[in-house]
Amino acid sequence: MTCNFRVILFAFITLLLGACGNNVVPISVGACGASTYPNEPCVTVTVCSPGTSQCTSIPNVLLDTGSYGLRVFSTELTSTLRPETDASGNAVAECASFADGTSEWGQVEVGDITLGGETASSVPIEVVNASYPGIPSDCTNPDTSPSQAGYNGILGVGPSVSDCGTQCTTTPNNRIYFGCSGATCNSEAVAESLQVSNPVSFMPLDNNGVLISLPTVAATGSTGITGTMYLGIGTQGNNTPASTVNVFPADEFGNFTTIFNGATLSESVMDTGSNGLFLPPTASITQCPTNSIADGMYCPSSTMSFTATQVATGSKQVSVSFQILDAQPALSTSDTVFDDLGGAGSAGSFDWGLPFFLGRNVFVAIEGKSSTLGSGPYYAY
Amino acid sequence: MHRTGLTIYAFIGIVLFPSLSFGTLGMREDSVRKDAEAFGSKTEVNVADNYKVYTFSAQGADFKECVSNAGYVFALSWNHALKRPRFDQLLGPHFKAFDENDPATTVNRKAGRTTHVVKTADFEVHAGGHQRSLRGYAVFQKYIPTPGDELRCLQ
Repeated sequence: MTCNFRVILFAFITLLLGACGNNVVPISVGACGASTYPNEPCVTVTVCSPGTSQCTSIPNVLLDTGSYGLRVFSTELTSTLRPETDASGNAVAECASFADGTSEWGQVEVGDITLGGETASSVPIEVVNASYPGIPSDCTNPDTSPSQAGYNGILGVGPSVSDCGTQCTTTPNNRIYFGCSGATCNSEAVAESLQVSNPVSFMPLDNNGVLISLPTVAATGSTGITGTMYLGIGTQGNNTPASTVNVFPADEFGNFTTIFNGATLSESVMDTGSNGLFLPPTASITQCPTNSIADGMYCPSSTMSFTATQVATGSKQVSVSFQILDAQPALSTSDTVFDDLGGAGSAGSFDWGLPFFLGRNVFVAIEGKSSTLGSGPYYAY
Repeated sequence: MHRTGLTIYAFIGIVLFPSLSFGTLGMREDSVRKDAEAFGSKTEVNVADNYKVYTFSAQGADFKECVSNAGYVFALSWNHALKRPRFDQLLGPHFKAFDENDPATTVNRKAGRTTHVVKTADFEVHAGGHQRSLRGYAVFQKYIPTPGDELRCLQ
C-alpha cells in the first residue's frame, strides 16, 4: 500500500516537473546494451565534429555523477573530432583512473556534445582506445571494448568542471595527462581548459548542474526502469527545486558528510556510477564469496535494514533509511535494478550509489555555478 | 616466528623485486620513512596506545600508515588521490601476491562498478572513492595489535 502510494506520488511529481523540453535527457537503467550489469544508468549522447553536422549518436553511455567529462570508445565514433595538442605539438592523451581499479586510456579530442536538445561546443573528450600507442605501465586494467566495459562510454556530470583540476595544471608528473609523440608518452601538466570536462558546464543555458529523477522499484527488483536527467537547476520549470529540498554542500573533492554507525564520514558522495550502496567496512554484514557473481557486494542471510544521517546546510541532519539484500541470489535473476544492493566501501566514506537515487529527485550542482539553491558544489534532494 | 617469516619473505622480495624493496605494508617501521621519501614528502607522527600513526601528503593525496608497537606497518590508507597510488610502492614484496589475487586483472564487471577488493592470505586491499577523490586502505591482519585497531587507526 505504502509502496503504491510512493509510486503514484513519484509519477505525480514527474508530471509536475514536466517531461519535455530541450533540457530533458532520458535515462534507462537495466537496459544498457547487451553487456549490462546491475544498476547501470545509461543515456544517449550525440558527439559532432566541432562546428559541423558530422555527428554520431552514441547510446548506452554510463551516466556518472562521480566523474567529470565524456569518454567514448573510439570504435563508437564515426565523426572525426579535433585532436588536442600541447605546446610542443604533441598529442594529448589521458589515463583516467576509476575506483574499481580500471582505467580509460586514449587521446583527448575536441567535439560538440548534444544532450537532449542542448549542445555544448568544443568540449575536450577522451576517445577511449587501449591500443592507442604509449599506454603507461601504471594505467592499470584499461577498458578495452564496450562489450568488456559494459557501456559505450561514460558521461561524467559530477559537481566539478574538469576531471583533474589544478593538480594537473601544476604537476607535470601527474600521471593522468600525457604528451605523446608516436608511441612515446610523457606525463605533463595541461591547462584546465584542455582537460576532459563536464559538458553540462559548457551548455549555453542550463549549465549549473543537473537534476536526476528516477522512479522507485519494487523490493524484489526490476528488469528495467526509465527516468530523466534535466539539465540545469532552477533554470526551467522542469528543474525548479521544491521549497522542501535539503542542500548537502560538497567540498573541493565533491564529498559531503554522512554519519553512520556513530562515525562521521566526511568523504561521502552521491554517485550514480557506483551501482550499489557502499558502506564503510563493517564485520556485521557478510560479504559475498570471492569470484562469485556478486563478488564485491554484501550477501547477508536475510535483508538487513539500516539508517544513516546526511548532513545538510546549517548542520541539519537528514535521516536516510536503506536496506542491504543478499546480492548473490538477486543477481542470479533476470532483474537488473535493485534499491538494496550494497557492498563494503572505503573507511571514512559512504558511497550513495544508484540505489539511493531510486525514487528521488537529486540535484548535482557544479562548482562555482550559482542556482536557486546556492552556489555549487553541492548535492540536494 | 612472525619476524623470522617476514624476514625471509622480505629477502625473497628484495631478490626477486629489487626495485620494489621499499614497500611498507607488513614491513618494519623505517619503511614508512622510505615510502614518504619515495613520494617526496615528510611524515608527521601521532602516538596511540597500541600503535603510532604516520601521515604524509604527496601529489594532492593524503596517506596514513599505522605502525604497531612491535614495529610493523599493519594498516595504511590513501585519500583525495587523483590516481591510485603505486601498489608496488605501498605493498613492496607483497605486491606479487596482490597482483596474483587481483580480480580486476581479468576485468569482469559481472557485479558492476564496485569497490576494488583484493584479498590474500596475509592482507586485504580495498580501493574506492570517485574521480578526483580516489581512496582506499590496506590491512595486514597478523600484525594488528588488537582487533579493531586497524579501524580506529584509519578513521
